[in-house]
Amino acid sequence: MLKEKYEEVYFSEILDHIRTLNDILLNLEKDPKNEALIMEALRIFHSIKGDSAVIGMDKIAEIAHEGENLLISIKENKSSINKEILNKLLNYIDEIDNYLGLIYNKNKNTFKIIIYNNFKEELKIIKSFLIIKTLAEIGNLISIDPPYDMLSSGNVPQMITAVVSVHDTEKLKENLLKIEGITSVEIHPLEKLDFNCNEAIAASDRMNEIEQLISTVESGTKENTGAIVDLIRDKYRLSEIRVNVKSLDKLFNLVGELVLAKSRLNNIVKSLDSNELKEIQRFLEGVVNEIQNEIMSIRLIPIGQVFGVFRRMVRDLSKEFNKEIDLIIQGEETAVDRKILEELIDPVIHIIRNAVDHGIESPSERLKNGKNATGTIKINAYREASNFILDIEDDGKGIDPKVVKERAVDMGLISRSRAEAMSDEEALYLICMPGFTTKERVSKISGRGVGMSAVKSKIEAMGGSLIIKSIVGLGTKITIRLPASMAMIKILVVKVGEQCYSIPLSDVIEIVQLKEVKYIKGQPFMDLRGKVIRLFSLSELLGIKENRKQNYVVIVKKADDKEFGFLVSDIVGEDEITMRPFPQLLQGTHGLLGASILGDGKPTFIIDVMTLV
Amino acid sequence: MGGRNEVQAIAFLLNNEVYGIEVQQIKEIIKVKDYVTVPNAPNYIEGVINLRGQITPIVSLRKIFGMDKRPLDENSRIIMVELESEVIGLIVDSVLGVISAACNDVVKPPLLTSNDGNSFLTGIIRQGDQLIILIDVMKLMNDVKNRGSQKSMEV
Repeated sequence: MLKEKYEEVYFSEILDHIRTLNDILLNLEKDPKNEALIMEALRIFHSIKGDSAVIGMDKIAEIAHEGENLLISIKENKSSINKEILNKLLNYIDEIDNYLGLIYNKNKNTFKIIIYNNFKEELKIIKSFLIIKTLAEIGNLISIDPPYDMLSSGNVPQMITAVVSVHDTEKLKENLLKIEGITSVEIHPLEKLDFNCNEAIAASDRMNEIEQLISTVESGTKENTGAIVDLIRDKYRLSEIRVNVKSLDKLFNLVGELVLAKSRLNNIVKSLDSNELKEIQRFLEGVVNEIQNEIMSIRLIPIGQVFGVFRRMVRDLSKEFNKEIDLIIQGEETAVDRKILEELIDPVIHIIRNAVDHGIESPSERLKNGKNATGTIKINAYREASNFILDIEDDGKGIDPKVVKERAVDMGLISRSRAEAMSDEEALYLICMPGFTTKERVSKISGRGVGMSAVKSKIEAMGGSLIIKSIVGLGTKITIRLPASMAMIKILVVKVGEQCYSIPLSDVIEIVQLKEVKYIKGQPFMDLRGKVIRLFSLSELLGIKENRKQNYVVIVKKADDKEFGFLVSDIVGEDEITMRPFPQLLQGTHGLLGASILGDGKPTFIIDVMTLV
Repeated sequence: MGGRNEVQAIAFLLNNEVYGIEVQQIKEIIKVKDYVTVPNAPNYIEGVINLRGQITPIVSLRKIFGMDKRPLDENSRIIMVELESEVIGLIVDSVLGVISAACNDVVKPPLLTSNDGNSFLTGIIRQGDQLIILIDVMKLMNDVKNRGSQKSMEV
């Protein structure tokens, strides 16, 4: 588990680097003499080399080294980046990308080293630095426990554990034992990676600084050691820490539950007449809201971090289609929830591909129409109130509503009379109908007819909307409007009558299908493994007419440990949804916790099963 | 009506009577689409729709005004209006179009203002033989919320 966690961090680092490199190289294509960019590319190749070497990803380090060398020679000869060099560099990046995918052979040179000591109190800090120095010189220090800040504050226990990647373990042991006060050194092959991944990355980042500081400490007199230690402490007083995305997600989900519990509490407090309770509830409400906002803001990521990859994509695609296209990304700093960003990638890729394939004309056609031979795709991201807006605009040939209508009628998607009654603006949305495709042939990247309809339903499932505008001959603009952040909760979707309702999954213990419902004195009951459980018909509690053909029972447990069953006509499935603002007009409606929108775009109510019975 | 000398309103039909809502209060008008009913809600709440990602409540003006139920048809429309903090939809029988009238042509509804429950009726526009009753949606919804769900209003 931990090993995977560690690799995850390394992967994400390298992927980050690859992304930035792609961006830089594409900028270099336009501005081949830009020294700052060359230096930046050089620096990143160097980082990849360093990061990879630290954890023994030798092959990647090698490739990065080649990239680094190539750039160094360019820098030294003061030459500029030509197409051949650029392609070579891009190939290096692709190779690294490939290797990342391939690497699952674990590193055999990594060991866990346990160092026992009886250091004298006043020498502890310096001795621990000597250990670090030795480990780092002979091998690659991946992590050390206790971590640096503990060691540097004098907290040096008799047993120090380090994870080191090293070839010559004997030499390492020998050198360690030379340090006075070290009593024994154990070297174990690493079966399970039991080190902290964050520490590992921090280690590789800071190795140089630490080494410098160590030499200062060594040469310093005893009096100013304290000052230097302070300096070290300052250096490592962290204002930012890396957090594993998974734990962030977990926190995020827990906050979702908290918000849910809060609205449940609100409902109860409303029905009780206690000012004291109301006051506490208001306070709680404030705190929970603040926690939620804070967590939401942690999850915000500037879109540039992800959208940079589109530059490379457009470059490669335009080659494939023999078109010349510039991609302009504006508002890269606009931050949006990580989850939303993740979900956005596929739709945006699809829209860009459509723009390249169907939108932008060939250079000759563009010239014939009096346009610039190079087409432009512009992505603009910005915030508007609590919404995140993404415009994807091309200056291609636009969508012709007549052609789209004709095509939709031909494919039997709509009737001719319906098509004729349709306005031009409405007709554009026909491209979002399931099964619609404009192409006779199905190309490699677009035109499979699942495209825009999938894009639209995905955006809508996220609580957003899609606006299509197009002028024939001038281009197309697709606007995606989304909430900038969202609170997710897990729900069970059940069918009551004709509508789908949601029950928080955290309330559900199990789901049972009953052949027949038993009644005791007119009350429905069931036998659950010998336990008698009282049943309630959800349709009756909600006042919904229902002709139940099947009997599914959702078992929930109340706070007093009593179990109840809710009869529903069908179980639709589990889902993860975002809570939507609950209309004020409906607030306080008995039994409803909130509302959301399901994958099919229909609103659903989240049922508060606890207050219903 | 302040310094303006003209009133613009969207005229619509309810039970063969013509009503109007000033255009300033209206966001958009949409055809009635599938809506989801709200269990345990007051009876004037017809349901909710997904309006571009927002859960938007739909209110039946017929129910508020105590008129008979009428099935939705091709002409039924939802007028989306903006209240203080949210958008709600009002179901009407059909939308007739935009009317404009000089402020002078708007008369206060003399008989109705005495009844304090009808402050949402802000005026009557005369256009030829036709009388159009102007509704202030904000006041109407406040009244509705204050009166509770059961009692319908007399117009």
